[in-house]
Amino acid sequence: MRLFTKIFLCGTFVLSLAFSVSGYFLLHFSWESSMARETEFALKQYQYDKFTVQSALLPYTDFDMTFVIAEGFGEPGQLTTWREEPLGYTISSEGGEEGNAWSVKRAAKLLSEDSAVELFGLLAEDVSLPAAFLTEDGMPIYSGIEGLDTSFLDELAEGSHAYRFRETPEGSFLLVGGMLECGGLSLAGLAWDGMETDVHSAAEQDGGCCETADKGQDIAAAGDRIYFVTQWDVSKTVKQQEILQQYFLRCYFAAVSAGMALLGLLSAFLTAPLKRMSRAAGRMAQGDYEERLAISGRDEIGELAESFNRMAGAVEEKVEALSRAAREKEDFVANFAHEMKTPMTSIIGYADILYQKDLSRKEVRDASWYIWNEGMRLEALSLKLMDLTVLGRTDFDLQEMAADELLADIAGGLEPLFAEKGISFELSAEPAYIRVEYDLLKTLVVNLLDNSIKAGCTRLELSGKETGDGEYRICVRDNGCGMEEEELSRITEAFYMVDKARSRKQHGAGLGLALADRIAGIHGSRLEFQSKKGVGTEVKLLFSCVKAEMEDEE
Amino acid sequence: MRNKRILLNLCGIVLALTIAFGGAFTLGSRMDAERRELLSGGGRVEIPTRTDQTVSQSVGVVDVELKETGLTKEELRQAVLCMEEASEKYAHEPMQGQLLMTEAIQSGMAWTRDFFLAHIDRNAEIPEECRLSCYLWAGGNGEAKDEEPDPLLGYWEVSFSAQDLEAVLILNAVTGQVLQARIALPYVGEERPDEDSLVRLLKDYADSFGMETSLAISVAQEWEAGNPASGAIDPGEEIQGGWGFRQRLENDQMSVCLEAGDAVSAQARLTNSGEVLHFALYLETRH
Repeated sequence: MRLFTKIFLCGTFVLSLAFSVSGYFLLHFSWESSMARETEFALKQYQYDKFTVQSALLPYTDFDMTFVIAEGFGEPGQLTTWREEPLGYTISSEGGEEGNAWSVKRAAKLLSEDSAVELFGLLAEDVSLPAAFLTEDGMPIYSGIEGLDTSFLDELAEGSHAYRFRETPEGSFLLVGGMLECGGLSLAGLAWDGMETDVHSAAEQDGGCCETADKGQDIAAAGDRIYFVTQWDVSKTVKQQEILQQYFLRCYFAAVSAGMALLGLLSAFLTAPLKRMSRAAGRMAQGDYEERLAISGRDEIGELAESFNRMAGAVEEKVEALSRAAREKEDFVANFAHEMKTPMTSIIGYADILYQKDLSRKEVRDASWYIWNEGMRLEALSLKLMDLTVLGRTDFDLQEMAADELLADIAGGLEPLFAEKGISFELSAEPAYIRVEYDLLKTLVVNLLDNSIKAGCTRLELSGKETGDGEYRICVRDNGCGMEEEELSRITEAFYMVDKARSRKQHGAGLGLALADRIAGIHGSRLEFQSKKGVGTEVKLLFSCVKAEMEDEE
Repeated sequence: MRNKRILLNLCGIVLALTIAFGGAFTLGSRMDAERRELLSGGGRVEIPTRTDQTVSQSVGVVDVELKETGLTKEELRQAVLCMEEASEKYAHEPMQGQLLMTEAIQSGMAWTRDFFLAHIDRNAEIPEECRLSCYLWAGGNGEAKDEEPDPLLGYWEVSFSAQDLEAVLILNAVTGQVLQARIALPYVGEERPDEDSLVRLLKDYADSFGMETSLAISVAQEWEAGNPASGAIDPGEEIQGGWGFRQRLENDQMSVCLEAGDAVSAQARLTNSGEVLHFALYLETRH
């Protein structure tokens, strides 16, 4: 799976999870809090309505007063259907064109056995919510609530209110119920002992939905407890919550869709540099080591691109070094073959002449000299190659030595040669201690002096001097033929000879300075050449001075 | 290989889409289930009520005296302050120590008959037929409170109305002391109460709380038609003229006020409700 897809997948998952979880808690909290608020409102309203009913019920206890239960404006003639006897209504009506203004006043002592349902029906009209009155065993005395299930009132203790949500096709409601008392008075005072209810409530007469007890039902069995139930409409809140949920889901889809689109763009943006790196790495794998990335920004991708470029540079350098080394090896082998071939050709040619022809003594001597001479060259060549091989080691044991004594010792061994060659030699060495491998340093200095002799010098100086900054400089200066500036960079290559004819004549193989350079490297130094054609050459090399340490030890 | 990779990426994208839209579906399903669960549930609420139900069953005689042990000065101030600051009213059942509904009604009626009507020289009887409304409330400021309310800070609001009397009384739920009364009396063909009886009414009202007061405001005047009404009738309603009386007694913490007037609003005239005397007798805290 591509990184783009992984980022997209993970991002979508996290986004969806975050929205789902936060949305769930938001909606859950909203649902619960709104329902809790509705419950609180319903309970408050219930308590208020309960007080209203209790107030109105007072005259039906032994509270010796008369109260108006209902008052209002009815249709003309409406009240004519109401009986004054035996219900005991005191009806006063004032006729008018718009209707009769009526009031119903009920005397407690006049309550008869048929009037209970109508009484509670009138009470229900005073209540602001649809209401029901039930006997203790759940039998409705009056119910303005359709399909009322009273099971939530089961075993309801005194001093408790019960509530239950209900859903009907008409909407969602909250039923609140509790036991009705009458201002601390027992309802046993109600004159309904033994009465049977077959009276339709006033609400039913008005066409409202209501239920009454079946004919013959004995309400007296209810004792003195009555349940009062109201129905609080929560449809609006439920609808609002549903709208909120739908709105959230729409927002969810919009946000997640937008988030996915952004994730796609972000993934593409993030993976684009990686793709470029991948392509660049592919091109490098195919040999294009000059491939580089454009670095933009200082973020991780930028750092990666920078590291990639550094790696590409290092690889390019390494590959170039390896190529150069391979080229040098090829050159070495070619030079070596060439250097071998020249003396071998001479040796084979003169040996053939000696074998094929009858030569005079002088010609035999000459041929033999050539064979000896080329053999000497081959020997020198093999010795130098052996030295180069030996110098490939790195475990030389450097020892502290007195530089002046070392140089004097080396020069002393060469003074007969200088005298033989007629070279004026001068040695000036300051005393100091340097850390060297004696034989190697001697080989190095002898090679340098030999090169000067081969350059045809007449004056040769070997000096050793402390530079003052903890280093000791050995310098070989001659007045030989010198070299061109451009040749200086190549004179330490193996088999490189400035003047091949002169060098071969002197049994040179072009390996002396290569050896010297390798030895200087072993001592942590390097050869520095200064030369001028026809004037002479100066070679310097620096060694670390250990004089101070020696003194401390002393 | 390439086809397999493309297929894998396509599967990843399809999985992402499934997660995105599946999350919405899961959320919707979960919320629907919770909604169903919530709307099929219910609960019960224990109502802290007065456990002493041994009130007399023979309370037919409405002659309850005001309780001798009224509120202390600080309790009275707190009760009035709480009533003034109540932005919401929470109806609740009588708690331990609070009056029952019948007791509150009896107290209110007794006060109206024996104290108020007696002071203004009206026939000292409550009409036999009247419309009654009564509820007990505690004040709140819209913030839910966990602790049970102080019974002393509960109020019975007793309203009764008949042809000859309309009264709205606010009683302290523990002592039955009337903290505020707004009473309207028709006075067709009768004399207005004289100012001396009104002054005595206010003084006795203050004395009933044990308040030592001094006179702060006393105004009696005739209003001209068109002035905005105040006090006993709806503020801001244009009046048709009339008489008004206003007196305030106060001490360093509380004041007690009586506003009376016979101002008749244009609305009242339209409904032909006649001349009405309005009384507002109430306690106030001094901030």
